[in-house]
Amino acid sequence: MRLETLTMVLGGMLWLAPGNMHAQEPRLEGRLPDAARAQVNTILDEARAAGLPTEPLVDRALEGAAKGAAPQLIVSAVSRLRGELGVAREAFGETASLAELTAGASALRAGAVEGDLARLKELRPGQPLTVAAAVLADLVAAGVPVDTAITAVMALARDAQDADYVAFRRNVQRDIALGASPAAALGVRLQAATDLAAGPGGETGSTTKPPRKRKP
Amino acid sequence: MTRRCRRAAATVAAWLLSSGSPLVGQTAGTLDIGASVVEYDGFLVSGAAVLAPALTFDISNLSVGGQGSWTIFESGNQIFQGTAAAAWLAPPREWWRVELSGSVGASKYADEPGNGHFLARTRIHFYGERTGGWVSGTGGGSFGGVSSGVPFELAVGGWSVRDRVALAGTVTGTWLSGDGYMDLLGAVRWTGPRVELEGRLIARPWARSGEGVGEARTGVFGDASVLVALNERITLSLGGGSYPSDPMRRVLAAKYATIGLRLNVFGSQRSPVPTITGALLRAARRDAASGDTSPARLEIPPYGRTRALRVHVDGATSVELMGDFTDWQVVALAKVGSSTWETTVVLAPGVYRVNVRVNGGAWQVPAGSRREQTEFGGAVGVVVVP
Repeated sequence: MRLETLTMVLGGMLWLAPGNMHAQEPRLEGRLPDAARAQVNTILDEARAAGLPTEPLVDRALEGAAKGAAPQLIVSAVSRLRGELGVAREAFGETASLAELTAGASALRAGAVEGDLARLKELRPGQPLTVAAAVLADLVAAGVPVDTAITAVMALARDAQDADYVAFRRNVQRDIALGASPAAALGVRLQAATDLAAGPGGETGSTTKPPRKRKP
Repeated sequence: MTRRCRRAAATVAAWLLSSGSPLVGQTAGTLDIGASVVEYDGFLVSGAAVLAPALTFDISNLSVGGQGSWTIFESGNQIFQGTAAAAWLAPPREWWRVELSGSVGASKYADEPGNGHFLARTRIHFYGERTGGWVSGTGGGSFGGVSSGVPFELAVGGWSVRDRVALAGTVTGTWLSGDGYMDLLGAVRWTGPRVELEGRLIARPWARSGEGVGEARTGVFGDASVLVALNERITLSLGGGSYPSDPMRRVLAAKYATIGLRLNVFGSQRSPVPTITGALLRAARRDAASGDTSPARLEIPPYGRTRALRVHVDGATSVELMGDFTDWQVVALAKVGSSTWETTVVLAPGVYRVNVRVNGGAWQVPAGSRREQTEFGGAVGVVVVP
């Protein structure tokens, strides 16, 4: 009788084991209800198994908790981000950094697709992708059509440094703020940037401080 | 009071109110062709070419007119503007007279949507032999822009004429969409056989408005112009100086210099300055706001081996932020300047999400970050640390 009981207990423990084998993320302690925390930990386990960083996933869960979101919304958001990070990893490759994956996920959310990120990687071999991908998302957020923003970021991809991308984004956003249509602003700034790449005498996004004002 | 005196009074009053008055120019058909160098508030200096036809008819006590202008700037951007106006003068009394007038105007700049306004004014003129004055009230509306509102203006003025010299002064209070400002204007005009000189000095000692481009701001402005009649049909006009913004008519403050020719001139209209229109004004205001609506602006400059999270906001008693880098815990910033709040953190290059709260209010997306809608309701600011 005691043996049977022991066997049953052991069997029960083994049956329950997969659900209790999560690496408990300490940053989530006390920040999420137990049930939601368990679900998030499951997603974190899946991410680790896929070689994905878990920090942004935890951050997203904490953001939801801080904003008082419903637990299921938090789990859903973390799951969605995990998927986006996975797509970014596929596009950027195994060596992609945490920052690159996060920026890639942001670009995907803005409207880019895996092929766009892969093309960006192809055009910038050995160069960081974080700023380029983030600028893509910024341009879309500023009102530039997704396809147009992708075309612009790709056009700069081969020659532009991170500082060039930052200056490019700043100039486009300023033009838009001054009344230019997003597509037109992008076209003008892209022309200036590509002129620079083509040879001396053009405006350089990285070394020329853009004017605070413009001509009417 | 003779008929001649009453006519002189009306003429001087019209001159006083030449900005936006339907009495401008009396009976006239003109075509101004000019070139200007102009620096609008919030913009770089630019050359501009102006073509401005105007036509007015005086029929007894009724004056009807229209005026348009086409301005093209160095950039190739253009402004089309047109105004139509009418004024009716009631039969004169012994020493006073009522004028009712109205105007409608519309403008379009570059690719911006058009804007317009309509104004109605009641003015009572008082006149003596060589001096006079008036009081007026103006109301109306504007449409087609973010600054749409119901303007209201009260004004009082006086004038005096001695031989070839006329002096005038006005005090004007204007209210529009909760903002307000007061203008004091003094003007002098000398009229010779072939030359006419005019100078204006405008002080805006009080203004209650935002700090953005195009808002009414205090200051002193002045300009001068000269008209030289080359022959009976052509007049050379020169002018330059500065003038304040006119939010009611959606004119942006500017410094300018202009030269032009006026064809078929009757009366004494001032040489047209390429005034900035509502659409351009809106664009300028967007520039001032950098497209962000949050009053708190975030910047993340390097700070030694760490990064400073710096928030600029006026009138705050507390500023807090939370983000990826704080584990989404609320962090209170320290005040380091009159409108600057700061904390330092270690940030590796990457993409971060952040919200800011001012005076314990709602969490907001700070200016200087990309707004991204979240699954949690509301939005978050996204910043990239290169």
